[in-house]
Amino acid sequence: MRLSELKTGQTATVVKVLGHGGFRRRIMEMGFVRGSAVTVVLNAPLRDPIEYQILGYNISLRRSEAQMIVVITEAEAIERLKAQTAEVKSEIDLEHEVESIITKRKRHINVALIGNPNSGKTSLFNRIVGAHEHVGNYSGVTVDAKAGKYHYRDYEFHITDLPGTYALSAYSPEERYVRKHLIDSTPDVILNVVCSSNLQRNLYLTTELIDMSQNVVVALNMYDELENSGDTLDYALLGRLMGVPMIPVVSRTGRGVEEVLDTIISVYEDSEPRSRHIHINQGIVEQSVVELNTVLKASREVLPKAFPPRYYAMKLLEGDSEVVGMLKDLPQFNSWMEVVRREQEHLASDLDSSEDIETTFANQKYGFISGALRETYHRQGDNRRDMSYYIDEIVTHKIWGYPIFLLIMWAMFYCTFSLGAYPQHWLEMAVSLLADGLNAILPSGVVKDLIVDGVVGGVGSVIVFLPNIVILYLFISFMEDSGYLARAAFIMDKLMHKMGLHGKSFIPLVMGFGCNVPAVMATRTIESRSSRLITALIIPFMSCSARLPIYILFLGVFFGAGSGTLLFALYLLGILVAMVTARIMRRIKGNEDETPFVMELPPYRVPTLRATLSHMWEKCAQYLRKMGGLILAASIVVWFLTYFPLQSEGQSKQEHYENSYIGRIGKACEPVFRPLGMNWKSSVAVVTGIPAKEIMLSTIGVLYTDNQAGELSEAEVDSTLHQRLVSSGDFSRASVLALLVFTLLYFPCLATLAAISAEYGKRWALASVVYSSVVAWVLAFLTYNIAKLL
Amino acid sequence: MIEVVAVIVITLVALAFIARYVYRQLTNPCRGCSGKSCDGCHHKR
Repeated sequence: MRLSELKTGQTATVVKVLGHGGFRRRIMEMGFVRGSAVTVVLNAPLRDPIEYQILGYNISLRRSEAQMIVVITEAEAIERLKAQTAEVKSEIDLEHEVESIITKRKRHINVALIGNPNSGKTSLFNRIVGAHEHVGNYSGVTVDAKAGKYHYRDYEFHITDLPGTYALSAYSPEERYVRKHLIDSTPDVILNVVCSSNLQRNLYLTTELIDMSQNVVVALNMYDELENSGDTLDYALLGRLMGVPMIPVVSRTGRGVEEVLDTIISVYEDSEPRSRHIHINQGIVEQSVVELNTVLKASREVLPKAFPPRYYAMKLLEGDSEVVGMLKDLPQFNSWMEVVRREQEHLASDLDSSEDIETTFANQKYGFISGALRETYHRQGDNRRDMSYYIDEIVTHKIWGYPIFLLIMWAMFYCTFSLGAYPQHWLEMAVSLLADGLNAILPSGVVKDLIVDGVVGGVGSVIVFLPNIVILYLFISFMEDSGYLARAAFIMDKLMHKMGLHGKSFIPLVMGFGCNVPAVMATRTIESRSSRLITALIIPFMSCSARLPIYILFLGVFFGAGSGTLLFALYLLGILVAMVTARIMRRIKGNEDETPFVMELPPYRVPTLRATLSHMWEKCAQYLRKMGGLILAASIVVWFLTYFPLQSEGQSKQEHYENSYIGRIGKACEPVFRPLGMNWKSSVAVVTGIPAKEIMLSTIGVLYTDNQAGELSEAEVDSTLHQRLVSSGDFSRASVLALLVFTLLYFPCLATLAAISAEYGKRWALASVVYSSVVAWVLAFLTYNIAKLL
Repeated sequence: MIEVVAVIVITLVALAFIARYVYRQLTNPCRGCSGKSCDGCHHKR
């Protein structure tokens, strides 16, 4: 807990002092060091300041200062001990245990990973904590903070991976998010991840962190790329110039990771000789910064302790709205703002008409970086960049760019279908063998029917599509990791503008082909609220991987050779509906999004086997988890509804099915779907697909496990689901197409709805349900009737 | 008879599982775990 949370009369022991620079030093000099006992003497009226007793004398601290001191009370220590051991022995033991808990707590290091988008923060995070968070060679993969723990040399690292940001101003959601994290969580050390192949721009963020006087360690990530290009960097000298330790790192191989952790420890323990606080001279604005800094320093005790006074001085001069918001309730605020106005007026006459204070700060920082790099960085050439340039000449060409993109997409769906068919067939045979085996072994009865028809029939009909899902993700992960996805977003920018959207919307849309839920989350990186909302609402039309098995099953059964192309056409239809929807919504919402497009084009990289396998494994594991959980449960329930009431004597199987609970539900839904050429079984499958689209397939699997008409031969009964669907005579090509169009467009799954509701409110989630269902019905109706004529 | 009771119990458990899934989706939707576990992962912002 924090010292500010203690009540009057309570005693606690100091664990550590957060913050940095002068404040931290001053507090520690006053005796707030690890192990000191501190007692709250009294709280002043209005609860600020608070009087404490430490080392035998009384001292008064502001609440904001006390908030930066981590303490542990005896009660808290006993609670922790109780959690560890059943009983607390003697008082001597207790004292010893409290000391050991303090020592342990002292060894918790909170580390924040901060860096430019696509600098490899998540790769480094995964490497350190052994996680498998999603990474990709494009900006904006991380849209939220992710936390992980790692034990190293008796220290516990609490690492937070933050979204990528170019600076720490208050313009974009990511910038605000990262800055808020620094204020609220006060990390002990910041691990600034810098892309070694783009030092100048990446180090700009480092200068911002230096302004904030943070404890920074710089990881020069992808250092092998810099070495391979023939360039040289004297990183030790660069680190000395900037006052921060710099370590070459290759997250992919793990090179330098231990050194990074050792450096974090030494920075945390204040024993790192390379760390020193520097002030970057702000040129023409420096005098004003100094003036304001002096005024702020005079009342530094009331300033929030997250940042040093000089940082507040710079931000007030810039007119940073968030910093103004942080300080505006302080009594001295008006007098500070008078100084700010005076200095701004004074500067207005000195500054170029084309420049403002913010631009001057940026220019000075870039000047500082440029100077530091001139002394330390020697460029020999950049083959990778050249290669990237030549590839870009082709793939982002104004004419060839689009056909190449379409060709890649077509290849993706074609391979998903045709290459996946082989392992899919093997799995089908395995499921069929399993069903046969169980049929032979188990005694006849209800339980046997549940296992064979419900579990194996339901789960088995979905699990066979695992290879197809893996192939689809292989393509998506290749596009992400190679850097092509960023190019695709670039060439799509113009098209996106025609839809009334922003080029940045393209990334969430492509993510939607994998799973709609993270795609809805990824809309957070879009600056304009209207674009964010429109993108989230059209994402459900991007056909996610859960719908893929349904297409593959029905296209494979009823369309044979042309299935790959039809599959591609289905995806294109989803995109087309999304475009039209976006256009309509833009007309309703107004205000075309004119935010400048700053999608970065990273150099092409050959995806690593580790990253690709990791993606594959994640997807397989996720798919199998779903099979073993939700799909299994849904299959059992569907089977139950199919099986009961029990078949009565003289009743044919067909009559029994129609009279079963599910038959009755299906018959009730049938009038809605009959105009689309769908029978009651397809209707009920569509309804069960609402929680998750895979359930639709498991329902089909259960409903078509048996020879319902009782007219098929023994060989046909034992055949695969493919053959049973054909022999049932329930489907025509027109009705299959209508079913697939409806599946593509209707009702995003429950998880997607919950995501839209959480991000944009229930009203928009409901609008998405109604709109997508109506569009799906109308287009499926048109498809059915047009296809019947052909 | 015992078999029918067993099947009914299994189905009730399955139903409870689905209800839990739906409840978790509606009360704790995914908070951006990059699709690692979209089915009620309790990932907090």
